[in-house]
Amino acid sequence: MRTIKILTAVLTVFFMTACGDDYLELTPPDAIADTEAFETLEDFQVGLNGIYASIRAGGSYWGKNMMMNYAVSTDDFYAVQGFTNQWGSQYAWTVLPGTGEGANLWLSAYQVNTRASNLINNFGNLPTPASDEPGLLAEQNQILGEAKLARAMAHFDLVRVFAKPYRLANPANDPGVPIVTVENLEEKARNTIGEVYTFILEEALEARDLITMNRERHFMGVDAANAFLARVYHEMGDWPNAITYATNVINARDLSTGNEFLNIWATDGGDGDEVIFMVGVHQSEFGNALNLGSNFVGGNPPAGGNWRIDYIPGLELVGMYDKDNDIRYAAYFLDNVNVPTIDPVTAFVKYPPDNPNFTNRGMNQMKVFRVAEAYLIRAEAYAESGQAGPANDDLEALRLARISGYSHTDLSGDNLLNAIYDERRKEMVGESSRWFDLKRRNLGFARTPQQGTGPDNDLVITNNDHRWVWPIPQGEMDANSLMVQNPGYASDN
Amino acid sequence: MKKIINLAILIFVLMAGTAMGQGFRVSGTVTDASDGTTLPGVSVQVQGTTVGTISDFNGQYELEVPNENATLVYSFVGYETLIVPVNSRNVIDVALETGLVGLQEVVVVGYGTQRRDAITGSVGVVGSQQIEQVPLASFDQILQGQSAGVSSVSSSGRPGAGSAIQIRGRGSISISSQPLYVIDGVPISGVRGLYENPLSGINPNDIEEVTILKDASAAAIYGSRGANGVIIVTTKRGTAGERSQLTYRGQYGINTLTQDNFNMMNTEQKLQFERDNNLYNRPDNVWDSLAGINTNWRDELFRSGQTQSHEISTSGGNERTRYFLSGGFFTQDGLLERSDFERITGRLNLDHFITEQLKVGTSLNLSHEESNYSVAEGNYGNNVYNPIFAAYLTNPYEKPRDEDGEWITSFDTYFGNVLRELSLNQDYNNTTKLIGNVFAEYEPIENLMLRSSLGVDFQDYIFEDYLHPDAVWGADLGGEISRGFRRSSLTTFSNTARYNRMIASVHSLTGLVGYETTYYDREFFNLSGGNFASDKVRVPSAATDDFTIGGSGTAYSLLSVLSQVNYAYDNRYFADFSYRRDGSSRFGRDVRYANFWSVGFTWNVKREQFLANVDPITDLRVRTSYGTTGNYEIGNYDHLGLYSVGLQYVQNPGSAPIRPANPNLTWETSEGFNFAVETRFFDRFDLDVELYNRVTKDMLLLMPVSRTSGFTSERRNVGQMTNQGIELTLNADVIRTPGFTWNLSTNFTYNQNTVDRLYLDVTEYVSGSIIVQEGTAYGTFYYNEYAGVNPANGKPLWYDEHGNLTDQFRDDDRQTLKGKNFIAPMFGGINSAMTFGNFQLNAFFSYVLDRWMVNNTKYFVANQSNFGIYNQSADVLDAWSEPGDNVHFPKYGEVPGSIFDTRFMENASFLRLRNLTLAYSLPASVYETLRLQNMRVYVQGQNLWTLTQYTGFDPESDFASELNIYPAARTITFGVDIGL
Repeated sequence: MRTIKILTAVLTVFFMTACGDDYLELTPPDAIADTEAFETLEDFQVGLNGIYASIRAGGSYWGKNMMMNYAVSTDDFYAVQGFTNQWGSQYAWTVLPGTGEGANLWLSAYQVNTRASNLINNFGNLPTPASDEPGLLAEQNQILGEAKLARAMAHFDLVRVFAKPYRLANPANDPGVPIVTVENLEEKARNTIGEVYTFILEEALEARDLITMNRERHFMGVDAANAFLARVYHEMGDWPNAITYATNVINARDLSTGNEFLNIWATDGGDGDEVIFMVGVHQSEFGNALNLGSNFVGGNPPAGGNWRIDYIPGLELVGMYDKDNDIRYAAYFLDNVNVPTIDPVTAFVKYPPDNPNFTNRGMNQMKVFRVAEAYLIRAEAYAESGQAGPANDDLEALRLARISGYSHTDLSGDNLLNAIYDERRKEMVGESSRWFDLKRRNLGFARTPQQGTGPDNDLVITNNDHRWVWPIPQGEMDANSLMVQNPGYASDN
Repeated sequence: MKKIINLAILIFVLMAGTAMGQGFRVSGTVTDASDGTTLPGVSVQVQGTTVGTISDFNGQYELEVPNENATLVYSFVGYETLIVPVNSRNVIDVALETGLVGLQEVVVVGYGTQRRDAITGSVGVVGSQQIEQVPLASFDQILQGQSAGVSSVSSSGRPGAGSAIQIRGRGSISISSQPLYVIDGVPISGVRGLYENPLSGINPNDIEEVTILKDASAAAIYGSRGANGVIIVTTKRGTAGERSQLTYRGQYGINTLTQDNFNMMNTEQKLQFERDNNLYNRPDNVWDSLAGINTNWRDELFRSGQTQSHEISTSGGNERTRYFLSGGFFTQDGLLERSDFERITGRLNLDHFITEQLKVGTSLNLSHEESNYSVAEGNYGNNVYNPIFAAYLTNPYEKPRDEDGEWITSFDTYFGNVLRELSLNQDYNNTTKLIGNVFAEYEPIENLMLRSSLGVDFQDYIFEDYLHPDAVWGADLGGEISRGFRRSSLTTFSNTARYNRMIASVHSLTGLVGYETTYYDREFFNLSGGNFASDKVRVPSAATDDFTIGGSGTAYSLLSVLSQVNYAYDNRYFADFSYRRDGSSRFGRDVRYANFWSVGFTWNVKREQFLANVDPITDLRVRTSYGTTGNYEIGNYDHLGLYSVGLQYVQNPGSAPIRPANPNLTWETSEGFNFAVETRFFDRFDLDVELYNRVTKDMLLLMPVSRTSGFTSERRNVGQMTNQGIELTLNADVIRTPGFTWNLSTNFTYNQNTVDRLYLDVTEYVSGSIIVQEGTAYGTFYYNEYAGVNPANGKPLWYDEHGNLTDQFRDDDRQTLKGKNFIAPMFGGINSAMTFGNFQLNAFFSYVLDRWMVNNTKYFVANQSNFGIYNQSADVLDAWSEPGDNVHFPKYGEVPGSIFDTRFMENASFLRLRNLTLAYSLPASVYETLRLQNMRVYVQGQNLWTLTQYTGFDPESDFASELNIYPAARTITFGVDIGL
């Protein structure tokens, strides 16, 4: 009998260890519940930084991708023989739905949209500041405005890559990209190009009203909002509005000249003037994910003085500059660079190998908005509006800042427009402009084989090639039954 | 609170015994009934207790039994078990009859042991003789080909690397298909990786037996983690005997590169190729000077190395205390420069009876490992700095050192001098592991056994990567050091109660109930810094710049109740029932519990009257089972909606969503059916046939979601997959004479995998090189079919989706290549064991059939249009050059970059002589003269021969694509075992 009592006791204790359900309630030490992510003003500031981090996103969006994809996709650059084939699909125009960079760009831009949407949609969690706290109200509005501006910019970049250009499309019918204002996993259909541009303008105009400050240039302030609006209206061919917002930028800031201009590229310098917004990166962040120029200056240290370059600038482009007097030639190019496989070349060093802020070759902070672009937008808008006088003034102002001893002769008609287009190509090379310009203006291009360059150095692309509209990434097609592929890219589904 | 209660129980169990009674001594001799020779090693046990001993070398035993009325059980492999009442006798001599081989053995199964013939599930057993002394650090690699249904593929020949084991096919698409490992009752963490292999800390020589639970009936007791099978490892324990045993085992050998089917260009060929295609622009004198160099880079980068192993073990004990103690040292050089592995192990297995009813014990394994990796393996895995890659791609006219013997820093092609980099840089790590438990067993009343065990799988890992300031890789940073540690522990506290009862001498009933808690905890910290003042000081404190820092942790927990009933009638009919309920922290509150169960039946037909006198049939049994098991190898927090706050933007903190909440995420379950027939004929041939059907439901699939969400996929319970297969095991005593025996055994598995259902209305999707398609086996390749070269113009041709020739490469022309799969449908092993006199000759082959793999290396070395500046296979010299050429390789420059097609897909089937051993046991006259107990010497070859069509270094891999695989070594060792 005693045995049974002991046994009962043992068994009772034995199975009484049953822990409560809380034994199974575990949460990670390095993350917070998404329901608690936006509560205090600091949370919103941190969330805003997260949006900027996704703009940078491992070189995927306004890191390397937005620049390299389109820089190598024109006759501005040629692949050297035996290049590593990085960005090879873009260079050869063999971008397919499965091409990784297209998928990365798509995903990263939508991450900007969802992160911004989370911040915007939770904004009601912040108490409305009392009327005697105007500083706090401005601070809150600045955060909301920057988030909205980021969301507008991501939609804009998506629609100009993955859809027809606004001016050549039927905005009311042609498919744009899905507008995303909330983070969810639902399938989404493409909005029309017109709807997307309407959304972009609403967002950006609202942002411009909310934003009252220019913070340091790693963040988008008043001038960035104006520069972005000028860029959007320019893309749409809305010349009066393009003039209005470009003027806001030009009135607020000066062009950089001399060493200041050189330092924009050499050391990421030029704060306060020409550079309105650049995608920030610190040496401790991301390693070499943002070594923008590595394919132009060689990603690895030179061996025996040889730079291991993948892409060299086209001779036509190089020949457009006044070598001796144009400061851009000194800033963007370096002659007689030794490379392993071919005769010495002129290398593109806008993103130089030896930026003192970084250890990796070609590392640089991507400049997204510069004052120079506002001059070029306004010059083109004036010329398109039949105002040759102010167009010549803007062209002259920019050239004076760039070319020593420049004296301007007024141009008119097509000559004026072509001069502005050429100036744009020269000024913005390697900032992804030419591909977008050709697309916007319904033009093609032809590469001319030059010494030391490899396959596809004779590529000819016509204006009506379907590949000007990039394919919707395959991953999106596979997961979203409402998605429609762009013409020319047959879909698996 | 929980911990305190657990501790209290342990103490209670430990203290609850009663004093041991006065004993009664029995001794005697055990002999073989057929010839009267004495039998050493026979287990003599007091029935109903764990008190027992084994007979010594002369067949003698001595044992203290509780009283004069006890009953002794004599059992020995290959003999009928004999049960003898003591009846107050002090001397009991017995003779054992030869029995049904293997059937009386006791096999370790989940939470206990079972008589082999009573098992209703599918259980494979690999004995110590297959595992001992194989010169591989990690025993999972040794399991290749050893048991039907078990595919073990080593994914790397790096010393210490583990192996990917799949039991009865791949069970899930996007989560682990690895089995659960349980070592001496302690579940081992499922985390595996290049830098993490918990199994490498176990000295294979310590292993007594590996049991592989393959079907639901065997594995359901492990419930949530049993879906992919369970591998139970039991290590050696001491037995009570007159004399303690002391054994030394040593082994020394050489590792060399196995095979190499690439035929790379030599200098003459490569320079001519470069001239022909205008690849390099060089002055004439440079061309001439290069022609004088001819380096075979494979010879430079690969090397021969040593394998050494030394081990001392001792075991013994008396009625109250038994021990097994071993210490081992193992070291192996890798085939690559600066790749090696060194391990020290120590084991203590102890059993002690505090009283007759209370036993305590421990199984404890402590190991310390130190490894160097060839630097590129870690940081530069798949880029051109990988030394394996460099062995192919470095041009033969480059040389590692100049005329004065000084290193050359960099080459004309896009390489640093990999040899120099390896000599300067370092990728070092060490791991300290503790795997073991402490346990107590208490028998409060007869036939009731309470067991409490606290087990842990603990790992402490430190790595240190160093890039030298003078190295090309480290120059930018002024040198860099990365250092980090990781500590993980999986703690399992299990309590079981087992009760057996014999009713009316024909009904045998065993019941088991248990309760178990599992907690896994992992933390890590790492930092790196650069810019060193001197390369002589290599610690983080000496870094002055470029600091990065990281650290966090993760955890999961599991709460389980388990139960089992085993019933046997007259040793003729057997039935097993298992039930387990698991709750996991990895799922949301409402869906975190799941029930798993199984039933199994065995019919021992031979014990029926109608077969009793059919002599040709020595044994015939039929088994069948059905049950469910689970799998939850997902991230620890996949069900939670989370925001990360670890982002940085120009050094400002940032936050971003990790995933939306997914409260419905729950267990993946597997429903398994098994049917088996086990036979033995003429007491000489065994044939086992097993059929299985295993259906995985609610697969924890990473389901792609619209990327407009900011995410690419979400884990959901969707889809279904089936594995059906047949396993054959044949064992034959071909020759069985006193002087010469030859045993031949072979196993074969055919597994057919089918993806039954995906998600929503998606019936297929492309995943890299493969297509996942309903109705098709998982792992089926999806490529454009290459159709050779157009003889007219040298352009490459492909088949389009309609089967017509095209010179345009289009993604839409990809084809589902049915039957071309990277997961082998057929595999197995062949083992031949011969003894003639004192000699033994063992040969073990393993094979894999109809497996296909992308030779990604070939993409780089047989692709002259895109990679001609690097060295290329000499095969490409046979490229198209003029109209009419009917060749495989297109004209130079005509192949677009970045495209994969069937050119690179190869048959990776193989037959490999994994192990060949010739051993000689010295005759007693010799070792007795030397005052030894026994002595054995042997020579052993590992991977001596491989038959394959695969053209890379090694066809053995479990990946769809092979790039820079670390090839398996050919190892030849000499060894000696001495009983002191």
